[in-house]
Amino acid sequence: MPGFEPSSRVWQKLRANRAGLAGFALVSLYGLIALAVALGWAGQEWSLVSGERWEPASSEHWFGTNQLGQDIFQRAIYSVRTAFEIGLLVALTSTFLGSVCGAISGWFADTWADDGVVFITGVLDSIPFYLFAAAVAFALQASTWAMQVAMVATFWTTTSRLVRAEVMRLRNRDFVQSALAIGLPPHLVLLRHVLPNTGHILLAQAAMVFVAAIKTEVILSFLGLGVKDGVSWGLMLAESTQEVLVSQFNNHLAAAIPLLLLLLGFNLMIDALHDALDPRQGSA
Amino acid sequence: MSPTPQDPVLAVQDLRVTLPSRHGRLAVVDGVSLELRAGEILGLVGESGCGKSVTGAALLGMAPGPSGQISSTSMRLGDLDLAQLDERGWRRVRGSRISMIFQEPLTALDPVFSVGNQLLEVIRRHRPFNRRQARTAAADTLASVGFADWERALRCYPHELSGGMRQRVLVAMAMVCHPQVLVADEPTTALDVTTQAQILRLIRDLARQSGTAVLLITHDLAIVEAICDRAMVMYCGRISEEGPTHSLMHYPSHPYTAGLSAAMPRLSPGRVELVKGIPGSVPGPEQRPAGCSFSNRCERADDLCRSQVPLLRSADPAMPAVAHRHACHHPLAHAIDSATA
Repeated sequence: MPGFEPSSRVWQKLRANRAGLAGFALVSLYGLIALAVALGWAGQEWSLVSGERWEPASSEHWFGTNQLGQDIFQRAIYSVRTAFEIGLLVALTSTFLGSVCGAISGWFADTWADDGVVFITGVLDSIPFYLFAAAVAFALQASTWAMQVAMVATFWTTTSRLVRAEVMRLRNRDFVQSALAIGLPPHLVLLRHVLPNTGHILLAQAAMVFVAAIKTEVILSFLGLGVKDGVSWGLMLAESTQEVLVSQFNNHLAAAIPLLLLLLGFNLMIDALHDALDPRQGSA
Repeated sequence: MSPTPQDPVLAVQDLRVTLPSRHGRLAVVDGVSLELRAGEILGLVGESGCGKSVTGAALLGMAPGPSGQISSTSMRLGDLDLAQLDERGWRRVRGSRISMIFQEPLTALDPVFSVGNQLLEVIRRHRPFNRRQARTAAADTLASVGFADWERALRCYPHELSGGMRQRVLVAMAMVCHPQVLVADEPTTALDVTTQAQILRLIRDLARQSGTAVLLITHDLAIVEAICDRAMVMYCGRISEEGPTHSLMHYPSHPYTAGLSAAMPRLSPGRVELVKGIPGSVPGPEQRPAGCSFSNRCERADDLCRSQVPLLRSADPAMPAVAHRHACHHPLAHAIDSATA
């Protein structure tokens, strides 16, 4: 049966999905860590040289120290905040941009506005993603936000295309016609009745962009085009390329494992969200 | 001059709705004129694709798609000249003075908002009510369409209601501002037969009580016979015959009306009749024959029919004032007609 799932049913579906719940728990844990770092309760000594080079794991340095003698645990913890900051910022901005452009494009399908948006998304999508992100980040190197701009510029197109298709589908539905027939102006119909019905797409898409942003940050930072003030898993991995040559794996593992777990948790969560929210999936 | 019950609430002359095509603009609705009086129910009957829904939407100033155009020589709602309205003006009329009910109760309500929210949206749009007044109006309307527990109904989401209840909500949304005209586009087609009867009775009772004039769009002659005072038969964007329901159903003078009537299954005790179909199918807007658009399916058609468009005229030349009119060069004669003539 087409139509939106009742919110209580969404909850039931989410609760029944064990893997999804585990994902939620994992992501929440990371979220708490990121919050603690942001509030200054943890991970503040990430740049402090507090020991010798390559100290092994101990009660003082839980994950040991890196080449410079910095505490790897502190750096790994601080990186959670970096990842969340980038993920949230990029996810929110590109979801906003994508939903606005997609909604306009879908609502005014086959007009110049739609042609414009479709052309821009088409052009952006035709450029290999990492190449494009690297190029933008490189071109805007002077700016603090270079990496974020690069990611938003590439990520909003998918959201826009999905929203456009959904809005075109919704536009001909009776309730939209019905909203016009009660005397609502088109922009209010779009805002109050069409966009809320794309919520399931926006939520799942925002979560996916969040993950993609974190992954991209690692790659761009590894290439030296990423985080400039602070530390991130990408920077730690870049450092560790020197260290693994001399069999020092602590830095590498302390960045790779938390990254892997966060991505795993997020993917489980997205799957669960998608299954629970997509109105086209039956109640089976 | 003060309005009398005989004055039409809505009077439309020569309504045309056109869409662009490869061969210039194509008239989906081609010169429809209609008058609606307070409390009256007018049926608009026709096969799918004949332009009846487009006619209904045009009465709310809503064209089919951004490239559709509506025109008319005159279009008046009481003392308001609808033909002069811009889009802003139309928005004040829609939902308050002319409202509409759609065919699919399943999809005509926004799935993510509660019934109360959607009902209040209409009220807030058109009435300067505060929250309590708006709630009272919503509650009154829900009660009038048959929700005993309106408090609960306000909180319900569309998926929690049955098809019949959803259609009641749509009726409530359409009637909440006490419109002068209600356009009901196949309001019961998606419902089962018993619910159909309830909804039709509800629409009829509300129209009688509030004096709202109803344009009931349907393909079902049985519905017309059941609740309409008058009916118009539409074929290929034109009115082929109109008249009081009884006269139209029992003494159809246009071969198309007669064909529709014969295609209607009737159950009467002791009699088995075969349902007769009309040969051929409705031509698309680009394949319409010249002259009478029914001429390629009509057994009475001759060269005159194929060259000249028949105009709507009184079915009874002796009594031009009688409201039964047809657009046919060779109408069917009836015993009763010849008797009066």
